[in-house]
Parts: sequence; C-alpha cells; structure tokens
Amino acid sequence: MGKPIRCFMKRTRKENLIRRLFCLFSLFSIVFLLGIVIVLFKEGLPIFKVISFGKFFFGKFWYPVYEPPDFGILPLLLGSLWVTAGALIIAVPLGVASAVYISEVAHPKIKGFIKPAIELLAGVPSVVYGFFGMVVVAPLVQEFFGLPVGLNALTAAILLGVMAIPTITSISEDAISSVPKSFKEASYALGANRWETTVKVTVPSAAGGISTAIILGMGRAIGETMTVLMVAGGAAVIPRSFFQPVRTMTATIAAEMGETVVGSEHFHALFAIALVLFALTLSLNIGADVLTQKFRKRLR
Amino acid sequence: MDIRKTKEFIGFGVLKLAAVIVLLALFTILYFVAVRGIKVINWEFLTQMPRSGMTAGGILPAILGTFYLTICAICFALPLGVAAAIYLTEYAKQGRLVRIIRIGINNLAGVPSVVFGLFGLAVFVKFCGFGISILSGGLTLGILILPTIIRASEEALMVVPRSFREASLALGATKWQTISKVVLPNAVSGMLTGSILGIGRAAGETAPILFTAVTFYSVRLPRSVFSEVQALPYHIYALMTEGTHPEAQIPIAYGAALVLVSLVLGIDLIAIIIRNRFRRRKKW
Amino acid sequence: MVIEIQNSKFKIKNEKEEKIEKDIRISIRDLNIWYANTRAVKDVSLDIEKNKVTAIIGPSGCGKSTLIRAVNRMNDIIPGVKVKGEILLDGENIYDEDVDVVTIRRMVGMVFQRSNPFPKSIFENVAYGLKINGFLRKKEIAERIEQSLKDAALWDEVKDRLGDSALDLSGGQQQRLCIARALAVEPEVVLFDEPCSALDPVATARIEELIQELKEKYTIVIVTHNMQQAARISDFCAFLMLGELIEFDKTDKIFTTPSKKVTEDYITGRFG
Repeated sequence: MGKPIRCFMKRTRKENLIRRLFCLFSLFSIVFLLGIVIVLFKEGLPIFKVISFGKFFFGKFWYPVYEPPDFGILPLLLGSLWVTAGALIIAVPLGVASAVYISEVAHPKIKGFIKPAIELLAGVPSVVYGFFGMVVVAPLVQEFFGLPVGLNALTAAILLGVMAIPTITSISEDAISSVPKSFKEASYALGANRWETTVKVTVPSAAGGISTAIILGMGRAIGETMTVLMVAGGAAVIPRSFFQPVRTMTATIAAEMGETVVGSEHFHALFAIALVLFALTLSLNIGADVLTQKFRKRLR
Repeated sequence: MDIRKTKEFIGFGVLKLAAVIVLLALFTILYFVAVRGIKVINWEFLTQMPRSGMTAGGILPAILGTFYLTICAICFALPLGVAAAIYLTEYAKQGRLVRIIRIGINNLAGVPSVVFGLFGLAVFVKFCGFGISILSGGLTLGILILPTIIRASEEALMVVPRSFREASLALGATKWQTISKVVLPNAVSGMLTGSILGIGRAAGETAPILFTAVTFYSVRLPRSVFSEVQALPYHIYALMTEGTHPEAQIPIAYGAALVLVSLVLGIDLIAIIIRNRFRRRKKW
Repeated sequence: MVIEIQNSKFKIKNEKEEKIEKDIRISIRDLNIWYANTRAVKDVSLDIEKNKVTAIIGPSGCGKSTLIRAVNRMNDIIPGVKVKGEILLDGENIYDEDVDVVTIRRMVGMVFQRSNPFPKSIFENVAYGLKINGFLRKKEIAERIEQSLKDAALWDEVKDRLGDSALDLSGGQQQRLCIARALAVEPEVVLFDEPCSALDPVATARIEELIQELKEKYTIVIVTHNMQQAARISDFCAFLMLGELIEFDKTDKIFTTPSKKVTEDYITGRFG
C-alpha cells in the first residue's frame, strides 16, 4: 500500500543544486564590493612607497605633474568636506522640513503629487545638475555676490544641497510616518495642538531615522562627482571661504585619471584618493546602518 | 490660546515654504532645460552625426551610445539581481550569510560612482583586456545598478502572498516548481518596474563610464561591444568643458541635456505609473 | 495495586486488538512542536482512521492548526519551527530524515483557511498539480480536471467557463476550487484547516456536504473552531487546549458524554 516515500535522491539533488546556484548569484554583490576594496588597495597602496602617510594626508599641495610631484591631499579632502558641509547646511533644513510637511501637514492629494516629484528630482542625472549649475547658477552667484568667478564652493554647495534633498526627504519621511499613532494621540489627549505634537512628539520620535537620512544624504554629497567637477572651480588649494574655487577628491579623480599613465605614481595616488573616499562613504553607510538598527529596537 | 494658534500657523507655513522651495528647484531645472533645449531639437539634431568639431550637427552617436551602454548594463545586472533576490527572499534562512550579503548590497549601493569607474578601469579595461569599450562601461554600470535591481526584485517577491506558495507546496510541488511557476510569474511586473528605475540611473551616470567606455568624438558609429562610444551624459560634460567655441556648444549641450532628461525622467515616470497601476489592480 | 496492573495490561491488549480491527491511516506519536521558544503542541498522540472524518477542535491558539500542518509537513516552511515525535503514515514515519517531503505532500493534500486560488484560470488552477506531477497528455489532464471538479461539486457551475479567472468566482466557489485542486493529484488524505471560516452559511453547508461525500474515497482531517460543524460532519473528534490533547473519542461520545470536565465546559460554551 501507499507509494514509497523515501529517498528521492535525484529530485533532492536537483533542488539542492538550484539552491546553491542562487546562493552563488547572491554572493556577487559581496564579490564586487570585495573586488573594489582589493583593486583600491592594490593600486592605491603603492603610492606610499613614494610618500609617507603623513605627507599624503597632511601635505598642503597637490601638484601631481610637477617635477618632483606633490601628492598632498589635504586641499582635496578639505574641499570635499567644505562643499559637503555647505550642501548639508542647505539640504538638512529644507529636506527635513519637506519631509515633515509631506507626512504631517500635506493633504493626501498634494502628498500624492509631491512624493513622486521628489523621487523625480533624485532621478535627474548629476551631469545635468552640473550643466545647469554652469549656465544658470554660477552667473547668478557671481553677479549677486560680485565675485570674479561664479564657479566656486558656494555654487557647488547649492547644487549638491539640492541633489541631497531627495535622499534626506524620502528617508526622513519614512521615519516620520512610521511613528506610532498612539504617541501622537497621547499628545493630543493632553491638549497639545498639531504643531506642538509635531515638534515635541513626532519629530523627536523619528530622530533616529532622520539622522540616518542625513548621514546617507551626506554620503551622496561626498561621493558626487560630475556636478562638483563642473561647478566647483577646480582649484586644489585649501579652502578659506565659500566664494573661492575648490576641488574635491571625486573631481580630482575624474579630471585626472584620463590623463595619467597607468602604473605611474600619479595613477596610484588617484587610487589612493579613491581608497580614502571609499573608506569615508563606507563608514557613513555603516554608521547609518547601526543607527537604523538602534532606532528600530527603540521603537519596539 | 491665540499665541499657540499663531505659532502653529507660522510653523506649518514654514514647512510648506520648504516643500515649495524644493519643488521650485526641481521645476526651475526642468524649465530651463526644456525651454532652451527645445529650440535646438529637431529631427536632424536627433539623427545626424556631429559636424565641424562639435559646433554643429546632431547627437545621434551619443544617443545610440547611451542606449547600447544601458542595454549592456541591464543584460548583466538583471539576471544577477533577480537571482540574488530569489535567493534572499525564497531560500535563505536568517543567519550570518544573509547578514553579510545584505551588508554587501547596502554598502555597494553607497559606493561613489567615480569609484565604480576606477574599478571598471582596473578590472574590465585593463585586467580583462576589454579596453575602453561598450562592454567595459556596460559592466561597470551593471554593477552600479545591481543593488537597485536586487532591492526592487526583493520587494516584488515579498508582495506575492505566502498563501500562493503554501498552496503550491501543499500540492506536492518542489520549491523550484513553486518559485518558477507561481512566485515568479506573479512578481515579474514588480521586478520590471523596479528595474526600470535602474535603467534610468544607468542611462544618466557619467563618472563610471568616464574611463571605461566613452570618447568625446568618434567618426563612426560603434560596430561591436568592443568599440568605444559617445554617450549623452559625457557629451554634455565634454561640450561644457572642452572645445573652443562655447557659444556654439552651449546650445547643443542644452539640446543634449533635454534629450537626456526626457529619457531618464521618462523612464522613471513610466516606472512610477506602472507601479501605481499595478498596486491598484491587484486583488490579492 | 495488583488489580490496577492487571487492568492496564488488559487495556493495552484491548487497544492492540482494536488497532488490528480499525484501519489506521495516520498515527501521531508523542508529537511536540515548538515555535521559536513556545511549545505549541505538547505530547499529542492520536490515531486517524481511514475513510473517516476526524475533527480537531479547541479554542483559538490551542495549536490545532499547527497540529494539522504537521501532518503534511507544511510547518517546515515556517522558520524557527521544531518538531519532535513521530507521525506515521501507513506505518512509516514522515519525519524520518530520508523521507521526501514532496511525496508526502502529494499523498496528503491540504485545503487552507482562506481560499487561495492562483491568479490563473479555473482550468489552470486544477491543472497545476497535475502538470507539476508530470501529467502531460492533454486528454488525461482534461479528464482528471473534470473528475475533480465533479468531486468538488463545482463542475456544473463552471464547466462553461473553465478559462475564466479563478479570482472571479465567489468565496465558496473559490474554496471548492481549492478542494478540486487538491483532489486532482489523487491524495490519500485530505487536510482541511478551518475551510469554512471565511464563508457564509450557505457556502459552508455545501462544503460540509461535500466533506461527507469525500470520505468515501479519502481519509479526512478537519480543523474547526465551530463545534456544531464538528458534531455534524465528523466521526471522531479531538479536543485540544493549550497544545495538549484533552480528549479524543468518537464524536457522539465527545458531544454527549465527555469524560473530562474541561471538554464539557468547552462544548457547552462556557468558554472559548
């Protein structure tokens, strides 16, 4: 009676094979990430045979094609941080305020329009931002502040700020709208109005998610290449004011990699910059991840 | 009482103002690009080769190049991404391996695009010997959009109700039969819309193809995957920063920017519309 | 003391004799099931007879769904579930390591709480199980589909629109379609996990009638929270509470003279 129920080796083997195959495919992301790390180390580290860590990180001059060359990335590092800081000054208030508006104030119909619009803003290619910056924003900045050139840190910061807003807004909005209703109801029950509830209950409860959003927005700004390459002015000097042209790490790589000889000191120096850049964005990402986990646990 | 109400009024007003500014920024960019770009766009502009050292003629090679690069990227990333998503949602048990894979995906998504360019240069151009080519650039872009595709596919798979899987398994289907005959057919639309967002991203990126695929000027259209190509985003950059006749090049850049923006945002818009439609139509 | 020992010996002997008489299809032995760290089923043992309807009743959360899902190993797909004990299907333990789960599920069909047809045509829904089992000849498939739809008392309502989407059917029809789908692969046992909980009284009556007819061919286990339903359709009844099997006996005995106070309280509606 009954069918034999044991040992269908062929079928089990086939199923296991399929599972392993998919597992293999899912490992590719890690393979690529590791590949990036290996390439950056392999091509970046040789520069330290020529120059010490200290001189690389704290050298004030970046003259890669002089004889002898200078490979100090301090101006580039500061250029990146300078522009990113400027971008955040613009993007954080606007981005977070828009997120609060979308999730707490806006009528559902308006919300249904603003959210996709901001998603679209994220979709505009960075080279278009750079182009727009060159032909529209830079002349305005130049004229308004009476500057010799419009391509400077301020212009770059404005554009990067606009570019970081979608990231900040959409993640903050997720965080704010996932604040439990009961928190708000408790506040209303105590006689607080909507504004007081928003400021004193909702936004503080979403603080973890909002900080994650800001960190990721920061990562986006630091890693952005084409826009800063086109509008930041490109002077590799230590920035002293926002009205001065600056050059970021990303722009340096993009501008100079095409002209270097593969395997030269300059080539390795550019990979070393990429390594620094990668380390920076990686730690920002991990930081954001840790914050998200913490935030989740606390809400529970 | 009155003060509190005034405060609320002002507070919400400020929030609204912020949202308006953000939207205004978006529409200003689109407006400028559209109004100035539309003047140079005509049939000839879209279908002709560039002439007289990039100061006249069309942008056909750049449009085609972007098209080829994007196709190449999606052909590479879509199977990989879908397979990874299937493993993560259908097969994997929560554990250390899955955690590591997720960390990999999250961090890959955060790597600056120019770093992908360097990776492509070192691995595809030099190590694999593909040279500066559609293949090198396409593969680099493929890796760049892989996280987007994995996430979109995972989301699409997770929307398929568990009851479908249970029904299939209870009928004596194997896991793979269940996935291939029940889960995937119901997730395919979601996967595609998600992947379209990846396509949009691949079409608009410049930094990753800077040293892996593009050239400012080519006499011929590309013949094979090993040809170097022109691409729209790079074309815009080059027109703005190289060359000697900015007054003639800027209008062309406007035209190219409009084509690129309509392409990318058009693709995104289609994805968003399809997504919303599917969300509404699904009964389960 | 002596008498007691004798008594129990006698009982064991008696049980064994009965077992030979009865035709037992499924035998659950000391079954324990854990969800993460909570034990949902505790030391349950019971025998399920061939061509009879066995009902599992009890208050919600008592582990009855978990128990029935153990019979075709559907719990395997839920992460964190641990099973200890044995379930013998025709004398073979389905939890043995070398047992093929897929074969078990082909032999033990299941109908779920909420009807879950695939978003395909009526025909394709019933054909699904056949196709994955390697039936390829169109004529044979069509015949089997007709037969299972007839067995599920759905044929007359859908025979002219087999190509329509299954999602266009009413709730009751959808559930009968799911029954037809399960019958098409010719299982030996059919498990019903609260099959009527989402249906109106008319549709429920049809399903109950159907289950009565099905026991001619199949062995049936049904989980229900509706005691009237259990009384109406089952031959045997198991009462479960907090994961423990309180009482298992012939249905009329459970509903007329239960041996335990708790069972009586539950059946008379004093809690639950």
